[in-house]
Amino acid sequence: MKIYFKLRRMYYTTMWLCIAVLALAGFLVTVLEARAEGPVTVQVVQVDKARFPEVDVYVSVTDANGQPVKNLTPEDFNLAEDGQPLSLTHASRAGEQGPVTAVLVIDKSGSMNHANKMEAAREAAIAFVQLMRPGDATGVISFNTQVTTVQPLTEDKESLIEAIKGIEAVDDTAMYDALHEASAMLEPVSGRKAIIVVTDGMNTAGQRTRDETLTLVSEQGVSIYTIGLGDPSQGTETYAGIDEPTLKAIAEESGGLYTFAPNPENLRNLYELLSLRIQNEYKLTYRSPNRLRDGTNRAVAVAVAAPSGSTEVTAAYNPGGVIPEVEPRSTWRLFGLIFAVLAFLLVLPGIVGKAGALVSGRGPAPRRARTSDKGKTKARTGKKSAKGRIRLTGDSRPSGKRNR
Amino acid sequence: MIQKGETIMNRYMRAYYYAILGAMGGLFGWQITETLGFVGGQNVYLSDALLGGIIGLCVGLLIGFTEGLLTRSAVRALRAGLISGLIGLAAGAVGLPVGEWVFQLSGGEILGRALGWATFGVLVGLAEGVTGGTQMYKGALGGLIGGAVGGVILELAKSTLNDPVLGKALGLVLLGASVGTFIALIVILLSRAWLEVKSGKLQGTEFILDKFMSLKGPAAIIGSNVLKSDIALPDPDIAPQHAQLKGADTHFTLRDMSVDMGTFVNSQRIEVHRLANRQVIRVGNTELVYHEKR
Repeated sequence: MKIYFKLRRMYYTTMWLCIAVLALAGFLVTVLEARAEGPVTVQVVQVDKARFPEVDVYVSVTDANGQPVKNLTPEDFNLAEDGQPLSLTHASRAGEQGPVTAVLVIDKSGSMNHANKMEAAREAAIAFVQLMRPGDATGVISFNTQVTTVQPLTEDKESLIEAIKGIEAVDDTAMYDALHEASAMLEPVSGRKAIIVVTDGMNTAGQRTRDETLTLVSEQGVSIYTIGLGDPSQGTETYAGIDEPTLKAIAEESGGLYTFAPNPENLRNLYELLSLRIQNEYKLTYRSPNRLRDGTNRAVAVAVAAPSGSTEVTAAYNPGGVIPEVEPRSTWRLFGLIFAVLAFLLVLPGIVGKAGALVSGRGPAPRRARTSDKGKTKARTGKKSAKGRIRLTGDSRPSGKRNR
Repeated sequence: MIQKGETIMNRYMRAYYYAILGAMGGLFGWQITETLGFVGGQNVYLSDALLGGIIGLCVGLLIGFTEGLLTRSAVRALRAGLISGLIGLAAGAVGLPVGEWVFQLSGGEILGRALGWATFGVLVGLAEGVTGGTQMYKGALGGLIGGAVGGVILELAKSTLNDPVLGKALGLVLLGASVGTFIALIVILLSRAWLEVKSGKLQGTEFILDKFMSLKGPAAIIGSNVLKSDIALPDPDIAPQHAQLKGADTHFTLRDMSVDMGTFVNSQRIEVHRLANRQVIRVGNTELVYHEKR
C-alpha cells in the first residue's frame, strides 16, 4: 500500500516536473524566437491632420526581413508631440487601420518593352489588386511623355485588372508629372493613402521639376513607394538608367520606401510585400495638446517597445493657420490703444503742418502749409476767405486771365 | 530743386497715409475676427474664407478711403471705399484659403507665412487697382510685395512677442500697413504721368494719370463735380466738367471744355494743347503741374 502511494506521488511529481519543463521550454522558445526577429524598423508613413486637433499617425513596423510585425499592442507605443507625452484616444491593431487607398503609377516608356519588363509590371500590379481587402480602393496611372489616368480610384478589382492589361509601352518618361497627377487623385480621399510607382528610367519629359515634386510629396501626407526596375539584359546588378537618388529622396520625404528590383520577376513579390506592409500598419490616434491652428510645425515622436528593444522615430506636421489662432479673450483695450495710436499718426502731418505755419508767423494755413511757404506761384499770397476759398487780388492773377 | 524736393515729400506722404489706413484696416479686421472668434473651427479653409473676407473688407475699405481722403472728397472716399472694400471682401475670401494652401504646401514657418499673405496681398492690390488711378497689375504687384513683407512681419511679431494675442494684433496691423505702403509705393514708383496740385485745398495732392494714358482708353475729365469728373477739384471757379486730358500712349493732350472760364498752360490760354513735362495747368484758381516720366 505504501509503495502504491509512493509510486503515485512520484508519478504526480514527475508529471508536474514535466509540465514545468515544457512550460519553461515554451517560454524560452518564444523569447528566443522574439530575439531572432532582430531589430525592428519603425516608420511613420503618414500623419493625417484632416480632423485636427484629432491627429492620426500611421506607423509601419517591420522586422529585419521587411515583413510587418503584427503582434504589437497599444501599450507598445508611446507618442509625444513637441516633447509632451500623449495618451492615445485610439490605437488600431495591425491590419485594422481602416481602408487603404493606393495609386499604382506605372512607367510605360519605350524602354519598358525590353526584357519583359512591361509584362512583369502589369502582372505585379494585378497581384497588388488581387490582394485588396473589402473597402480598399486603387487607381492606376501610367506615364511616358504624357500622363494617362488608366483607372480612377475604385474598389472594383475586375475593372482595375482590365485597365492594367491595356497598358502598352512607348515613348519617353514624365514621372514627376505622373506623381503630381497621382497626388491630385488622392487629394479628396481621407485615411491611409499611398502611391506605388515603378520606373526603369530617369525623368526625361514633362513640365514638373524634381524640386517641385519633392516639395509636393513632403507636404501632401501621402507616402510614396518607389521601385527602380533593373534590366537583366544589362546584368541583374546594373542600376544604369535609374535616377536612384531621386527615387530614394521621394520615398524618404513622403514616408514611403525605395526598393530596387534587379529583375522583372522580383516585381510581383515586391508588390505583394508592399501590399502586406501597408495593410498591416498601426493607426494611432490622439488629440493634440495644442489644439490651436497657430501655423507652427509640430514634431511627433513615436516610440515602439518591441521585444528586441525600443525604437523611436519622429515625424512633423503643420496644422495650418496662415492667420494664427489664439485663445479667445477680451481684446477691446488693446484695440482701443492701437486705434488711438493710428488715429494720432493720421492727424500728425496736419498738426505738424499747422505748427510749422504758426512758427513761421503765417497763421492757420491749408494742409501742408510748411511746404507751401516755399511755393513759387503768386496765387498763394491770396487771403483765405471765411469759406476757406482762396480769393485772389487783381495783381496776383496770372497774366493769362488778364489777357482775355 | 525746391519743387522736386516738394514732390518727393508729397509722394512719401501719400505712402504714409496708405500705410496708416492699411494698418487701421488690419486692426479692424483683427478685432472683428477676434470678437467673432472662429477658434478651433473644424474646416480651416472655411474659417480662412470668413476671416480673409473680413480682413480683406477692412483693408480694402480703408485703403479705398485713402484716395478719397487725399483728394478731399467724401463722395469719392465712400465710393472708392465701398468698391474696393467689396472687392477686398471677395479677394480676401478667396485669397486667404489659397494663402493657407500655399502656407501648408511650403511647410509653414516664415516662408509659408510670406507666400501665403503675398497671395492675399495680390488680390487686395488688384482691388485697389480697380478703384485707384493706376493699372491693376501695379496694384497687384504692390499687394504681392506688401503681403510678403507683411507675412514675414506677422511671423516675427508672433514669435518674438511672448503674448500671442498681442503678436497677432500687431502682426495683422503691420500687415495691413505693409500692404498699404507697398501698393502706394509701387503706384508712385511706376507711374508714368501724374498731375500735382500746386494750389487750393488739395495742394500737394497727386492724381495719377496712367490709367488714362492709352490712346484707346477713356479720357480724364478735370472738373469740380465729384461724380462727373475723374480729377475733382473743389474750386467754385471750375466748371463741373472743365477740361479733358486725352491720352495718346506717349503723352497727353489737354482740351478746354469750359464755356468761357478758360484753361491755361504756362499762363497761356489754350483750346487744345499737347502737354510737356513740368508744364503748369491752371483751371479756375487751381494750378496743377503735369509730370511725365519717360
